[in-house]
Amino acid sequence: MLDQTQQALLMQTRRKLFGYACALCEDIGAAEDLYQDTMLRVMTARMMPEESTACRLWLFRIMRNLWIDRLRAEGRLPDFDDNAEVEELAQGQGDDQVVNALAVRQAFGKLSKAHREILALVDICGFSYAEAAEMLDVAPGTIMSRVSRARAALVVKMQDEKNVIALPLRRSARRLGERG
Amino acid sequence: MTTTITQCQLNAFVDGELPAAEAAQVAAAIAADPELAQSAARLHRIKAALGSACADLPLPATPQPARRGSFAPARLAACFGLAAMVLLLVASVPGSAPNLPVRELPRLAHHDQWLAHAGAQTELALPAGAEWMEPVMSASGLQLVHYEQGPERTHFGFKGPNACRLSLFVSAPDRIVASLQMALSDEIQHAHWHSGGYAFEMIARDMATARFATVAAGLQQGSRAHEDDAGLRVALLQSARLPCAS
Repeated sequence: MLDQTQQALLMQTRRKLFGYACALCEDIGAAEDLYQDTMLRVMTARMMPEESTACRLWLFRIMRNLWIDRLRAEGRLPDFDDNAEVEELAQGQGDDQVVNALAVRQAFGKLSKAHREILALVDICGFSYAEAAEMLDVAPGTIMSRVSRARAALVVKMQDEKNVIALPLRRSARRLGERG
Repeated sequence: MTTTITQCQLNAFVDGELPAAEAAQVAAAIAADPELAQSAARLHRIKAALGSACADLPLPATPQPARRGSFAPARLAACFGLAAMVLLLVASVPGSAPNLPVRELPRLAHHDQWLAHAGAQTELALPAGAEWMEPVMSASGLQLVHYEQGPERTHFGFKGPNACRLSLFVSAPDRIVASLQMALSDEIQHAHWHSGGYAFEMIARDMATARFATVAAGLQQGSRAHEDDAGLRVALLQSARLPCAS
């Protein structure tokens, strides 16, 4: 039974939960299903951790377990430790890119499941390395290297994306450029 | 880039995960090396872009915590149990989950007719007397998008994620059904029960059977809990009334 604090935490966390679902799933419909199933599971849980950090981890772990169950049922469980070689970025490589939200999000969608998941946990959901490590049941050092590999892969995807037109981050920036 | 600063360290620095001494070392290296500073800035921008990725996502309907006098989570949990039991029973009885003959589901044609004409439908508020459905439907991600009162029945049409549609018909009973009865196939899902002197019939196509069974069990429990509810009675009586004979 959820008390008021837990209800408040659930409401605060729901956007990040949905963001995590979007990062895990291939399409928005599947993400909505995963989100709803997670909420349903949470609402019907007999007990919920009282401490907020533990509670947050518990919520995301429910979603992750449901996601794994689905993948397992479909026979396409990914390799969660994506050790695929990612070329180490040379000094200054990729720095000429205009990093904008659209380009990053498009490249993010093209990453492997493992890379998407680790970046979702750290960047979208805001977990610390220690929390992500607890959630994935690995050492914090493993999270550190996975994050590094995933971001390097993201930069490579952004470089591969020839069709992305770099847009200015803010309209005001464009207007300033026009004046100049 | 200073050779002593690795990509792992730089990423951890951007994430604020380095111990103070190591973070100071990286910060000093960044201050001394413009290219390293550019790399760190790029990582910061990537992190910020991903961090704001879910800020503008339209959030799906979220289950609301149980409200006063409504469906308590414990009761919903009981529904899960009931749904699981029903699923087990259905699965354990040979031939009990057949391809349903259409003639045995007179409401299926009505459901299909609604599907055929269901365009972009906006969410409706549950009518007075039917609010008891809200926790179950909300928790299941189903929104009311169609409501039709006829002389013989009331039709509630719900829309869920992945474009699934579910119909709930409420009418006067033609025969007594002692308990919740379900017939589930991959193509058609059907549930039927009585409560408060009315017949409830739920139909869907291509809906996950576990989800359908959960919703059916939840609604059956909800209707039982509210069968003495005056609001429900009034709503059902309104839907069941026949026009005056002239």
